[in-house]
Amino acid sequence: MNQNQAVIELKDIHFSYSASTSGSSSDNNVAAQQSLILDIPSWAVPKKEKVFLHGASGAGKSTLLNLLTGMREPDRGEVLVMGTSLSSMSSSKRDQFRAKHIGVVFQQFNLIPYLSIRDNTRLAAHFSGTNDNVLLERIDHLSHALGVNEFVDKKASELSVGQQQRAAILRAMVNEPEIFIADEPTSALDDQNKQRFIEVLFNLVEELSMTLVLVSHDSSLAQYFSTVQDISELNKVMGAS
Amino acid sequence: MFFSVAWQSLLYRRGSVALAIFSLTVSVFVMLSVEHVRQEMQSGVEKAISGVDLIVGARTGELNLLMYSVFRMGNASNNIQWRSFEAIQNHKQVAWAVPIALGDSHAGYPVLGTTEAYFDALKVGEEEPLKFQQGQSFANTMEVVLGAQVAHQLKYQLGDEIILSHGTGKTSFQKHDKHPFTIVGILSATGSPIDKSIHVSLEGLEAIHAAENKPYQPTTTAAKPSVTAVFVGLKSKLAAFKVQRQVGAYRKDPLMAILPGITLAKFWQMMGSVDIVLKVISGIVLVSSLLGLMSMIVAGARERRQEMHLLRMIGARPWQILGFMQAEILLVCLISIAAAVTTLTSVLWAFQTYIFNSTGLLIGLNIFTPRVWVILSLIVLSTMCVGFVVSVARGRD
Repeated sequence: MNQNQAVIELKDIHFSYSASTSGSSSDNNVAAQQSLILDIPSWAVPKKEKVFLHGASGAGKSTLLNLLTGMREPDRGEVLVMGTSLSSMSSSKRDQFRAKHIGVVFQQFNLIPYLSIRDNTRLAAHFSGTNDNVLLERIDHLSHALGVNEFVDKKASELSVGQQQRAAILRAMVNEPEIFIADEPTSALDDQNKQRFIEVLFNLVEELSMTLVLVSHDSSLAQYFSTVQDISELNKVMGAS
Repeated sequence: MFFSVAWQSLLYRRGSVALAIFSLTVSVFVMLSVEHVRQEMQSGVEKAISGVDLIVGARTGELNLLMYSVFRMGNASNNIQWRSFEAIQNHKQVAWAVPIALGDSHAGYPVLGTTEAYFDALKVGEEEPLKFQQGQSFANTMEVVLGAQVAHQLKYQLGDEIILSHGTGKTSFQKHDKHPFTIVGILSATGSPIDKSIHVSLEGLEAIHAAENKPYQPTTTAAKPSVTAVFVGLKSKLAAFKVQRQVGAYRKDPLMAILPGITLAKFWQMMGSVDIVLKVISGIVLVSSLLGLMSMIVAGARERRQEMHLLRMIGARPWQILGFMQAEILLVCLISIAAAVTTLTSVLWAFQTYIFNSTGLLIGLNIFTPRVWVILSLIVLSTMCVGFVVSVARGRD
């Protein structure tokens, strides 16, 4: 695997919730190791790869995603996204970087309930600095592709869960990020909506040449992915226990 | 963008937001009313006597002299002799002196006996001279000039005849009904007690009293009318204290003189504690509504945690989220202020005439004095501070 091709790269990551923030990497004491959540020696996701990340609950999936998006910082080690180390950025730079290059969809609450889909999308575009000129066009195109074009001016709270999750893709893709991260995006959906969600997501990921990381405990989704990664194989904390 | 999002966020939670706005509105309303009424009372009193440097009357309390001579409230303890008035008039520092005689009324409105000089010498508001809306000053003994309010309320016109009553009550047993006065002039509205006064010549007053009192007091001071008080204008305002002292030392008649501005200042000092109580009350109301606002923010915290997380995820910097919260609070605050200002202005508008009729004070509708702007800015500032502290404290977790 070529290093330059890797869009996401983890090197020697340690993360624990109770560890002091000032603690330098070398001498982790016993107390800190007890609360260690993640210990990932290395992991890389090549460009345009579609990775299905699965594992039991509590295996550190959400924590791993928080590290990838820069919402949390590892106690030690390095997270490289598109060749750039997240920890080398100022927190404000990191926020901007996330807005521009990473689209995220969660299990729920992907949209601000009191704003229309259009305004949710505009807000996301606003924070990433996406130009207003391309915005209308993108919203138009994406909403058609996602089948939510009829609802763009409705408030998020007025939509069904299935519509909301597809609208969440619109919000996450409007800045045309290189990386798309989805955290249990289908677990609130029925089979029909799940099917539709995966379908439209894959179409757009393909069309926009994105790298996809989808986390789920639902192994029936694994069939759609080129790479299936069990998190317990990555995380030495889990392996030890 | 911030304000549009903040606005929609407020609409989404309109129940609790409406409560916060309501309580903030009440407190701003109380604060502004206290401030405005205080201000208007002060400037109203000052407006009513602009241009008068000294008021001379029989010895009594300073405030009493001011109240009865300017506001026709209370009574004079005694009268001034005519020759005392002449002595004042002839003082070399005195530019003009206008005698007034009070004690009679018509339909509850006070009658003021004076000389023609009254209409030239007296100034109201920003030193504006009195103007006639219709007609002119009295030239004859049995002629009368009405204040604007009197003419308006009683629907009098030039040429109508009125009868004065003895005493100042609305119902009087002793009417000077053999001596009707003819209306020859109506003054323009001034927003001062002059609007509520009925002006006749001293000779006119003397004539009706002399006619009726003759059996009891056959030899009053040689047809020279007695005077209740004298308004004095000086050639130089610097001489005010000196003339005041000289009036007090006048041996032939027990007199006193006041500088209206200084007496007023003393009066406000006396009223100071009332003022403070009102201010403290409105302060407490403001604090309690700020607490209400705080609880609104804190109560919404849990439900909005996901919202904040989402905003962070789509790239909002912490300060942008703070700004977004502050925009909401600012909107709440501005809406409350707008509501309070509107309510206060409408209340004033509705009660302006009533207040003027019962107190003689014309409360203006324009509540925006520099002080009010300061108060409003302080309210906005303290609200923003409360919002800031709560948001930052919340943002920590």
